[in-house]
Amino acid sequence: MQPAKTKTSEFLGYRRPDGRVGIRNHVLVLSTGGLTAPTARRIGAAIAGAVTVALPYGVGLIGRDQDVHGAAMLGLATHPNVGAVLLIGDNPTRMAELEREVAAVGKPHAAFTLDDCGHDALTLTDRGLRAGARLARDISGQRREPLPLSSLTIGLECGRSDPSSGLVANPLLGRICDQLVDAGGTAIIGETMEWLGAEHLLARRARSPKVAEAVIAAVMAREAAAVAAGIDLTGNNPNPTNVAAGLSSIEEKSLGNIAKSGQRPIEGVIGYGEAPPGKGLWVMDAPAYAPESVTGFVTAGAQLILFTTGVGNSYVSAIAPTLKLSANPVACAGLGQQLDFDASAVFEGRLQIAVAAERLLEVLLGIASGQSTWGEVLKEGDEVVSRFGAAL
Amino acid sequence: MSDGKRGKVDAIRLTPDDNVATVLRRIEPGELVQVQCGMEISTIRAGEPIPLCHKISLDPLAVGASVLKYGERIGTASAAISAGAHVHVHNMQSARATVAGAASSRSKKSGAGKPAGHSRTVQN
Repeated sequence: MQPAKTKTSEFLGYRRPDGRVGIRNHVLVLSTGGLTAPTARRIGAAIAGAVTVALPYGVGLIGRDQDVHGAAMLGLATHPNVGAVLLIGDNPTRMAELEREVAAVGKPHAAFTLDDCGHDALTLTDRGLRAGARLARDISGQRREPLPLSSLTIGLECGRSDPSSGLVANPLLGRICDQLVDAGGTAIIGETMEWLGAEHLLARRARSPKVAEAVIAAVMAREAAAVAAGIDLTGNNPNPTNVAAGLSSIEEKSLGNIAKSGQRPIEGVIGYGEAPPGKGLWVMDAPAYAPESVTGFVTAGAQLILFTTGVGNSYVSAIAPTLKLSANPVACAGLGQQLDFDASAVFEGRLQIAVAAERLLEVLLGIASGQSTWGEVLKEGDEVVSRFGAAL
Repeated sequence: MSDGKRGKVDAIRLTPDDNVATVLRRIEPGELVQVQCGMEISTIRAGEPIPLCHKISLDPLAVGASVLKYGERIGTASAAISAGAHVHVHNMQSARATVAGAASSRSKKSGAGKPAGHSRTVQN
């Protein structure tokens, strides 16, 4: 029988054979390429509680795309929130490789390709569904146990920001980020473009001059890419939603954005979707668009996402429970089935931010222990892996 | 909007170096705005409407002056701004974001190259 309450800074989670800890016990139906995506969705829809992720690309990816996609597939298939994974695909060689790597971490799994099934999608559906159903039943007996905050990796995201994000919501996240790091856990922020104008403040907190240089270089490269593409940053970032809400410049948006990283030192810069090599606070050089950014954190091993919004943002991860919060009083009043935490009382001067941070941590630990988020209940989740170049 | 539950504070100045404050509710022209900075409250009279979460100027700013929030420059005044005015994209601009110009010369210094391309449709 599971205990109903946890100590402060503890939660109830699932120990995995590879030593990592999960906060959900998903059956993941993972289509490793676009050809079998519809079949994977058919199978996933037929298994109660299954999460389906279909990566739309496959053969033809080269260079960085091939590397990132391969790592992302492995990161999703072996994710600690996944109790068992059903792999569905169209490339026997790649599937055999992936299956070996999934088996090596002790993850319960089954794998089928179109080639195994006479190239017939319905045969694939039949065999995949029978195996997936067996996996779901097998893992349903697993129970949660008390685990420390230090076993969490949390991705920190913001989307459709407004000035309340920079004044309250992101500073709230910053306090949680500091607590997590102090407890021995791991935190990741990304959205490189949104450090522009504030990157000197991040660089100042870098563990070493080399890390400081890497932070600055990441921002300059992204800025250069925008300029080379003829993008007018004043029109695209802040975007029209941000501007209507009161953000006047990329610097203003970025200063508000980096507040979610708290005060602790930055251990290093990691690439898109890459797992941090150690504990502490890391910055991921990645696109800012939420679907890509969030999946980057998930494939890096984040079990939970903290996601602030100003005016409202419905998107969540399919695999990592995503805690949505806002401090905008209008958004909080109107988005009762989207926001998991209402910080507007801080904005309105009725609640101290330190008290709000205590309450947010409690909500976070409850979600880690099994409480559903709105995004999970309403199936708003997805996973999207970034692309970087042309395919063959 | 009902403000029965709201505290006495109408706007937040994040640091003493800031020359703008962010308003916590829509402000009408002529209102005396209570601005909180840490534990201190000061006041400024609004010269025009300020929408929720937008900025009000605490000092007069000449063209080219730095607009300061979070203790850092968030842009420069593109027009003369009086104290109590609405500060936003109509009278301030990013000091950082440009279409080309300063940003591209910065990128040339760093040696950053073009990103990996993708094909665009070319039509007659």
